[in-house]
Amino acid sequence: MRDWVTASFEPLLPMRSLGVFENDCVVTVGQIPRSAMTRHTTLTVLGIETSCDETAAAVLRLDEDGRAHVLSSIVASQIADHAPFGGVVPEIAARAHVEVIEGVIAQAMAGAGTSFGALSGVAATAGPGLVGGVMVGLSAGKAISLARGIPLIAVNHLEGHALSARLDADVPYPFLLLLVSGGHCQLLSVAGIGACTRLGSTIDDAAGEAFDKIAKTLGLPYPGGPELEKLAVGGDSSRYPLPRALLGREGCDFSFSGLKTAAARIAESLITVAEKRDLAACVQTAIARQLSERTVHAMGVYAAQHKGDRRFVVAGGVAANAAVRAALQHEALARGFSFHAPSLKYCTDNAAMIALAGAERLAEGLTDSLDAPARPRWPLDEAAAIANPVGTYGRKGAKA
Amino acid sequence: MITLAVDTCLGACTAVVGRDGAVLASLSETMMRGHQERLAPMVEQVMQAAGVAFADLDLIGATVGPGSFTGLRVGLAFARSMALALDIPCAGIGVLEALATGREGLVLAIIDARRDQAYWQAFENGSAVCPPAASKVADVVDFFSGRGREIIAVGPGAAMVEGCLPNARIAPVEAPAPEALLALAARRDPGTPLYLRTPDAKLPGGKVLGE
Repeated sequence: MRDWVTASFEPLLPMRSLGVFENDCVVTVGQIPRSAMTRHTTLTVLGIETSCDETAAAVLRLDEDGRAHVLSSIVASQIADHAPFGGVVPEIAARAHVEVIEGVIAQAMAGAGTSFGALSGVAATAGPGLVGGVMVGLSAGKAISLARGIPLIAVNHLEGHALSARLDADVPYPFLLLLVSGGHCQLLSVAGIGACTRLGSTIDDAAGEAFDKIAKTLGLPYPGGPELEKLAVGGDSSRYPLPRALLGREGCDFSFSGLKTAAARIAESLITVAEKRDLAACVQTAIARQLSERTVHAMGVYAAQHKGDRRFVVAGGVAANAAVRAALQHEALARGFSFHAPSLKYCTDNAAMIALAGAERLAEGLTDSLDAPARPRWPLDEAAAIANPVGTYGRKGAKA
Repeated sequence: MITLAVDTCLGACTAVVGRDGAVLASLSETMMRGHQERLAPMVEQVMQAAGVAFADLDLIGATVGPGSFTGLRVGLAFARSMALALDIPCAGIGVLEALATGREGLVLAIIDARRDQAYWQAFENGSAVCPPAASKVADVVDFFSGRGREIIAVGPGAAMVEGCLPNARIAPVEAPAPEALLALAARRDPGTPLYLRTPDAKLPGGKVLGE
């Protein structure tokens, strides 16, 4: 049993009388109370995230002035469940989510010192991701929304990441965003909630996927990205030549499959720890270099469209990598962009970012109905994904 | 006592509200997929039809399987979370037992588990005479051979034993009855998923989990 489970889930905070949901109007879900539609109110939102291998719940307060306060953020990682397989197994993930979801939500509520009766809304990730897991969290969100008569917000997981830098810092819209994780790698111009324009995307693998898979060939345990970063410390990043995909090419797309294959081939012949350390350093440098080279292109495009203050945000699991952060920060500052990245705990999957996206949507009057589907594929910029499919566009449509 | 029970494990999505075991309102739609989308609106509708506010519920029940893995998770995650938000208990309902509920004599509850297998369990006057299992139809036939009496085969897999069990009467119902869901929810069994199968994942080297 995971250690956090041992914490008690008992007495949930006493509920305010359950008679009728006193105070605030009884609302039909899908509509929202008038008071929530303006910015002149404080919103308290429960967020739920189950799209990959973390079961997470968080409670967040969004003040009238738009500032977010994370009241609690609980993440139950399934890493131990998937480690023997060297990657996330969807059915194992879904089983683990349903096992712990209720306890994780109870912990988030208790940690925030909030009762269900005090919530303004409930936000759950509805995609993109592993649909078996998404359904668990989305069903939980719907149940709470229905039971307490509060609005449901079906959140795009990527929008959560896009907003994550706003969790613990004042990062006003608009900004240029590099979203880079194990499942995604794209550059977006973010004008506000629900207003993302894609500038570029990976045409094959995500950067985090390349990190993880190369780490696996180096014999590192899953998840390999952070392990590879540890191994790379003190390595010679010039020892092994690696391909520089799309170097000098127009546009803001990425490609990591060539790098992955080349590094895997080199890894097969390595014996000593020193050799592996050097390869890890080369891989990390190559990924950071491509991310910053392509981001520099995007900065040019963005700068042409935006006068005044220019902000650059990097978010997603790979933003936790120090070398990647440093390379991007260097380029941003050199080009007149301020640099923002969420704190490390909000880089990887979490529910605070889902609660924030939900709260910002709720403040705009954007809510969802109880029949909201779980979406395995759900691009942030749907129009661009359909008009200009790159890489991840499969038989069933664009993934992200 | 007012109970809400839901079933999303088999080829239907069902929601029922009852008072002390009597159905106040129930709603069932045949579907092989789409339970996630339909469950919450159907619960909202059935609560309205029953004239019951969520705050008045005393108990929530959900089927725990065996059946569709995705389906049972949708129902359980929904029921557990609703119970949490209302501070009331959540009960698990075994699908096989729910199928057999209300039938006298020797009963075979059976669901097609694909891959030439069935999820099944035998009951005598409502009491289980073996644990739930996933196995080949031949094993089901073996279990009943020598028991000369009439058998009622009930459930969406009932046709699987047609012709193999000569003394079986086939009752191919697609999902448990609302009354059965209410009756079993009242027992307040834990809401633990009953998959009867391990995940298909293979470990590096081709081993399977649990070997």
